[in-house]
Amino acid sequence: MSAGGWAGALLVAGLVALALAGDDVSGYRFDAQDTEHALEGPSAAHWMGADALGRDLFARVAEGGRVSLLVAIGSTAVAMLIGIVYGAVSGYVGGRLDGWMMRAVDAVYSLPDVLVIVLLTEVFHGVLDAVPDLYRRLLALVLALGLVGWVSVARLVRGLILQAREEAWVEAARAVGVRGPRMLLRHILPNVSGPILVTATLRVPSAILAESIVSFIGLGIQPPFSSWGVLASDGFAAMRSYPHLILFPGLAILVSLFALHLLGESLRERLDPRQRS
Amino acid sequence: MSEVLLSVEGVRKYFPVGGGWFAAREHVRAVDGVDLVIAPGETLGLVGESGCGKSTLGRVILRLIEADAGRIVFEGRDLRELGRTEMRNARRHAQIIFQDPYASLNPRMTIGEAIGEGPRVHGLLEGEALDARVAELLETVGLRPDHAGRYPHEFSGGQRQRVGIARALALEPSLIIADEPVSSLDVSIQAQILNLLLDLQERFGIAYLFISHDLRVVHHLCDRVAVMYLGRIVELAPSAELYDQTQHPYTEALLSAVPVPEPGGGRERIVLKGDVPSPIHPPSGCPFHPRCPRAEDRCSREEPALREVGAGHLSACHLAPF
Repeated sequence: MSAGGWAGALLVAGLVALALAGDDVSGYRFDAQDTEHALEGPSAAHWMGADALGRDLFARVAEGGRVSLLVAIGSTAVAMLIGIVYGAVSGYVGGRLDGWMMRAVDAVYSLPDVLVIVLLTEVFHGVLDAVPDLYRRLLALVLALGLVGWVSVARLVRGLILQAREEAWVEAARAVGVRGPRMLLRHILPNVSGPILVTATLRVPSAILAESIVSFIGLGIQPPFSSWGVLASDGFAAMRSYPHLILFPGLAILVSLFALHLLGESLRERLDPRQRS
Repeated sequence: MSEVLLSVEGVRKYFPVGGGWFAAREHVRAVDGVDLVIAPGETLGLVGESGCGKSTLGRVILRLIEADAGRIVFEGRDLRELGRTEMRNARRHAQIIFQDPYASLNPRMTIGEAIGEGPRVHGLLEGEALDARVAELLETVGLRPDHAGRYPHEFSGGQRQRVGIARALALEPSLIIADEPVSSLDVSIQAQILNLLLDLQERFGIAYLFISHDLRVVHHLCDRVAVMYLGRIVELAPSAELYDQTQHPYTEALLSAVPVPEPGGGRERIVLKGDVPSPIHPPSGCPFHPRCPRAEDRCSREEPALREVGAGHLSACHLAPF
């Protein structure tokens, strides 16, 4: 793996470790209030400062990372899974089926994202009645964001497959008798995996932001729990007076984007034998 | 010719072009009623200008493109009447070598996997037996067996073409359609690949349909040669006879364009008038008449049939034999 790939992997591991062990490292609980230190900037005691209720921001960023990373990676996985299968079938089978499948995608695409997310979150809240509250909210977010995101993945994958289907090596494989699933899985998909991987890494930060919008409406994560998106949008309101409130959650989002991008790029290179030396 | 390996009868392939709400749909007549016979172990050359339908014909024979009409009888069975699974098995012994050795190998697959894929998907070989077969094939085409784990980009054009040949050989074909197999290679490499093809024919008794626009190569390699113009065969003759006793003006023009390596040598150059007519609206009568130096009145009215003008020599010209 390239140096960039290692750096990305290391950063992702660091973020995950931070999210899992945040409270213990800082010594503060994420929901412990200490109003005397409210809105204080970073110090030796509070490494990232404290919020309006005097809660340690480091502990909150760590705690929020659990939600953000889980929701972002989970919903990206859902979107990629549905999108790749749907787009691959549509593009590979082609013809009339492709036409109908793409009309369906257009229909889903034409609906406003936020509306669909709100509706789906509500539906999943109802369906997942038996699940404890916090997990139910997380799961509903993952599914709702995933079910909104798959359409653009499906379009991309279909386009890539339509293009790859015309390659001479596809005809060559057909001539020796390769058909159906093997053609798709062994020949076509590996050759279009690069752009698909890049899309996946780019979807993660947008899912982090989408989660904050849903939570802002009141359907996502509720206080005292938080996420990077929620922390950042809270901090945005007081950006001029207390810049640390947006700086640290923002940095967390930025670093995660950067790390996933490095990791994705390096994976893409590794998967392409032409770029392996 | 008593034994027949492949017989193509009245095969037609029209590609639809245009067509929409206001425009009528038209058709490119890529292959317009072709008859051919190939005997076991024979090499039949198929020559013609770019766009005359020769590559399409090759693909139609293998059903990589579906024909619109006609019969394709290979090893006694009409491929066009077989279902998908039957056809796949029947086609095993008919393979193809492609023009572009760069584009016709999957960049994400080792050459060993590519060569072994045919036997694998047909369930003929697997595991160590397959590896051994791949090694044997690599050796047969003049590559090192330990290269099986390498990817196509690690090879030169000539080596890649050898990989393409090994892939075709893997299914023990009785017919290989060679679609301009050397036209994208350096001249120095061309001879090596052609000699390999000849050598393989000798060893395994493979018949070739050798598609090319290079008349010298075809002359060197083929037992018989068919000349194609606008989706039809206009002349078909044993190789030597086609060159010595040409019986179609189009073939004459093609042959006159072959460079001869002596000053003042060779034939009188015949420069054809105009361009190849559109295959969407081919000319009336003989499709070659607008460019033909010998054309007469009736050539624009009557369509000439491909008929025998000498022993095993067919020509679609009203005026033949000259």
